[in-house]
Amino acid sequence: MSNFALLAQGFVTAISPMNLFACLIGGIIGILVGAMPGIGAVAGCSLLLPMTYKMNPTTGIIMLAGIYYGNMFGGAYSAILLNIPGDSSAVMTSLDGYPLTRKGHAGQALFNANISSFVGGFIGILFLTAMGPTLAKVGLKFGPAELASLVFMALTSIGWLLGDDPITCLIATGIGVLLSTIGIDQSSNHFRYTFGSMKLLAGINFIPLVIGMFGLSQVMEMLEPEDPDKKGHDYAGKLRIKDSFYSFKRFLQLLPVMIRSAVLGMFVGFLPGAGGTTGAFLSYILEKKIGRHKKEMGTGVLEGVSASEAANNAAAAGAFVPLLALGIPGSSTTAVLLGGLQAWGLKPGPLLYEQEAEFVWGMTASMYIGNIMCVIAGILVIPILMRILKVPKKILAPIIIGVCVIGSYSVGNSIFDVEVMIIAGIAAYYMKKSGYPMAPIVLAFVLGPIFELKARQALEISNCNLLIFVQKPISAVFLGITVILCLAPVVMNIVKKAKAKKA
Amino acid sequence: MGYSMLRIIISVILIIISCVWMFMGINEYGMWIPGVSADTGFIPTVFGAIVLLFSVVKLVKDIKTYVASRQGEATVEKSAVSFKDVLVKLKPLLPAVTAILAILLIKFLGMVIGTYLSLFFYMKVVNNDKWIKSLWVTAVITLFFYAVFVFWLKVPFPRGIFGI
Repeated sequence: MSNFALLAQGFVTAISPMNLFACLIGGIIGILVGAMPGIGAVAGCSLLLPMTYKMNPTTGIIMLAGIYYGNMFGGAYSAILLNIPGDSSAVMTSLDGYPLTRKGHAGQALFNANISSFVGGFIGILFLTAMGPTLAKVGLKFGPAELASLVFMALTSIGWLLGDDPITCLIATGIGVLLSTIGIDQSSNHFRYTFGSMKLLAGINFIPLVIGMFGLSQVMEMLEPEDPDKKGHDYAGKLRIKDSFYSFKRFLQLLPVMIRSAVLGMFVGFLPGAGGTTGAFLSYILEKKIGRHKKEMGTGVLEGVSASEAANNAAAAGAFVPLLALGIPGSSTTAVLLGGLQAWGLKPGPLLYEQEAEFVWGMTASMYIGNIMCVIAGILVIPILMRILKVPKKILAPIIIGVCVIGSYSVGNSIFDVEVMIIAGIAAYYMKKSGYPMAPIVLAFVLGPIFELKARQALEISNCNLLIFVQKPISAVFLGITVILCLAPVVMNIVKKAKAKKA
Repeated sequence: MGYSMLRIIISVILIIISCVWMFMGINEYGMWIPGVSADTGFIPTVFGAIVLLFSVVKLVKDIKTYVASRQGEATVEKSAVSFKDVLVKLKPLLPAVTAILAILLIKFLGMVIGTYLSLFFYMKVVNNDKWIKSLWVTAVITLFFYAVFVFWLKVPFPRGIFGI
């Protein structure tokens, strides 16, 4: 029986009232949790996992999957409205989302984030349906060397793609990696750079860091004497719901961006350990290199939001491929889901598609339904979300401070996380004043540990032979692309100068 | 303190941090286990070297900019920096002060009272809002946080001396 015939049977399971209700609740909780900085999909799924134990496994996983991809929808909201990414995968969304809000186009940014998330999620689920087990086999070809080269390509690209000054971007990237090395070394289990502090043994938590760098520093900027928005939200007055929607023609212009970002995000999503953040970042790079609006990326264009959101939603769907077909969790959230599957007595792996067809196809079918539910819920909440921008800045500032403090505390129920958030906020404020961009720091903070782990695993496998990175064809291709990407601007510059001399 | 001086200070701090990372990476954690793999200090040292290299380049640029700006200023008559100017420059730190106050108050008085008092401090002292407005706006914000984080998500905040 073909995959689509099995999917049709899956829909019969998915549209049972109980499963539909679980899907709806999961999606809504996911959106809410994603929109609140400090909670995130991992915490959301972990908190609700015990609740699902009494449910039928299919209903339970439908609810948890709903939380997971609902979170991808919600993560964009706080990134767009407050410049505080709800999750690491929404960092790239804030690069264009928040500037759009400052230009008075918050509604369009939110609407576009929802539509892009929907398209990205849909493409991701479609791939999962058509080629789930096949894709998982391709994913297995990505060993440590290939993944290390892929992440290295992303790390080296951050420097010259995300800011005006490549030097400050490279320094920021390096700082991000250095910060990520604090705490336990994943390969050797040794402690590093803790400076004798017990609190640093577990390292620095991502969420307090990002909340401080984006949220607290934002409020600090509001109190500057030269703050352009000091008199209040000049963009709040222009907000009208009807301006939030764009035409079908504009949708068609954005659709290619969504499709190529979703395909790339999906591909990265099914690589074990790469994650939605890497997917969103690589798609953003792709858009910045080949997109029609490549020069305006980062200044507040819908293409930037589309690239990031379509990719991270497709990656969320893609992460189910190695989870179901191989039993390998591609991200922290899918690791929680794996725990749930095992608790229900299911054994993810190549045989799952055959032995538990009702479960697998029921869940896949529910993802289509959940994706539609999430986009409808997401569009319906736009008027409520836009009210946030109508709140005067004098009241918004203490709310953001409260979110920063309470959100940071909630991550690990620790005052230390709040202290990290404050230090990160102050450091980010002064670094921004000196021209350092913040996005490379947080991206490198996420990508650094993946790169280190995979690179060292590759070296271990090859008995410390550095040539492993060029001997493996896929890895060599990524390194080749990295060299081309790094040399291209230099060569272009030389050609330009030569042309100018001739002229 | 102008932005050019701030840039120099940040570059110097980054140079120190990268040197510490490299020094500890090489001396304490080790770089390479021959025939086995890279050691614990390898990646931090490599990225420390990258930060060091580019921070030095940036520092040189920053010093040049600073010297040029000082030469420009020398032709303009300098006015004395008043206490008020210093306060205006320090004002952006008030949100961080509020967050620190929140930590201390939450530790000793619990989440509800700690959040309320620290946000009230912000509304009254930083925003200079009226008493009534500060009292009720802060109450609504605190109630919202309580409903979401304590009531719904069951985050175990410190309860403080009053047990709430």
